[in-house]
Amino acid sequence: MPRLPFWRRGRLDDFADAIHDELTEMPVPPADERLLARVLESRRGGTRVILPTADAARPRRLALYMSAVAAAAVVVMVATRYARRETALLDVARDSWLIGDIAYAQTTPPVRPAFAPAVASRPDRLRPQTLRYERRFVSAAGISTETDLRIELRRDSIAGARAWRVSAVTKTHDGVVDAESVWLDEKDLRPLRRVAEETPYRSYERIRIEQRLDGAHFTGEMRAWKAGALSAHRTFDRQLPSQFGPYISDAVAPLYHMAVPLRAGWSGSLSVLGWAVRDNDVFVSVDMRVDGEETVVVPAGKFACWRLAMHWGRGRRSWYWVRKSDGIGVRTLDSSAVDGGVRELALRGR
Amino acid sequence: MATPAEKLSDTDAIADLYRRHAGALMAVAYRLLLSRADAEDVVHDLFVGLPEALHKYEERGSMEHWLRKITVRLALGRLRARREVMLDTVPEPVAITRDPVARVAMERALSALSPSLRAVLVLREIEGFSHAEIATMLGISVAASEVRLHRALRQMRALLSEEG
Repeated sequence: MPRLPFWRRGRLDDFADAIHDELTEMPVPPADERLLARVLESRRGGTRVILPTADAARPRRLALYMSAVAAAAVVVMVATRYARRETALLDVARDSWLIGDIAYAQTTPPVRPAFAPAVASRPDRLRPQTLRYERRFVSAAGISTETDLRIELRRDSIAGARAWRVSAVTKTHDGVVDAESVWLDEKDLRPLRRVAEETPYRSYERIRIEQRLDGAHFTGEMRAWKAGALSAHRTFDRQLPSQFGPYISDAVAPLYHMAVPLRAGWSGSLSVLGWAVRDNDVFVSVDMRVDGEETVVVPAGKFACWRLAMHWGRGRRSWYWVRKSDGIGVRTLDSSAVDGGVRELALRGR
Repeated sequence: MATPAEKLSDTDAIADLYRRHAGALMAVAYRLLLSRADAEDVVHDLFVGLPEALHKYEERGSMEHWLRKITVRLALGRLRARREVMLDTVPEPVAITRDPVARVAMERALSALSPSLRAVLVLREIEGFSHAEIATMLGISVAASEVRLHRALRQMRALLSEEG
């Protein structure tokens, strides 16, 4: 029993009894046939999951103490080193949906766009939906890493105005979670507000970037936590140059061409926003040009697509396939990174 | 006679086990995570990994109890890894079976608890695990489990008093 004075124990027990029925009868979602179909599909596809054991022994105290001493020693050894490196590491952005490794990709000053702005002329074509992608990275040494990406497009409002909300979540096999939500003006898909989080991030438990866009005025703040306490905080206040617009967020990229009808010979430029905490991670200007039509086979199926050649950064080039029927991004392929790796994203399903 | 693992080699057997236990396991996962998507991912992972994991099941005690413990471990792992990014909370699409006002108040109070307190409250008061079992699952002492339950109930009482 809890080590509490009897009168407090009694009162809490009464309270526990009082809420017991409400707690146990709190409605829960059903485990339906759709989920069973997903399970069986995963098994058929060769997916295997190593489950935790039902009864893991609690760590022995001696082992715990020794681990703590060892950990403390390691902390002492690396603390000084990290203290020096922390500032440099803090703002490294993660991979972009559209253009692979975005970190430090922006040139200073940015390269001028080659084409006219890729304006979202048909925002009325957007429909609420959920898309799932698989992201594969094959390193120069041939080691393959796969992660899942889920993107949701939902109707929402922000500051009383109608908006679209796009949420993207990536979970890696080693427990890192990237998440982003961005609110777009319903009229022209202009980003209004954005929140991005990564957990864990370097030596931090998590990092959170909040951005606000009011016309060309781009403000926001970065916060990072260690041991549950705020450990790093920065704000920024920038102006986005009009010649590099339209600006999109990474999560929006696979949906953006729903509102930008493509045709043979089409070309356009846009910019992908970075975290914007440091000066060379504000945005990356991307030039896109339809250079062919292909039938693409991805896990979600076989689709007739426009193939776009994309140029960005200092001599970077990648490929992007957009489904003709609705403008959804189906596949990206980037093998131009300096690390020699190949990055590929493919639509897995809805 | 076929072992449980051998029985699960075909999809019909997985489907049969799913239909018998998945509802209860979904409830456990949802109450810990308060997210339908995350709870479905936990149940999905459990049944995908079950045929191999059944080699470790020694048919001591009820299978549902064994499955619930694994579900709790999967959900706790997910709870540690995730964090919220939304500025607002999207209500989960679940059916309302009781007084909706009380239900909303209860869910709001439960979601306001820290994950560590909520886990103990759910595991003890709803799932009926002993403090010793909870301590093992969470990697804490029995006394810590008891203290967390006390704190969780105290906070729930305060939160529901505010609602009322």
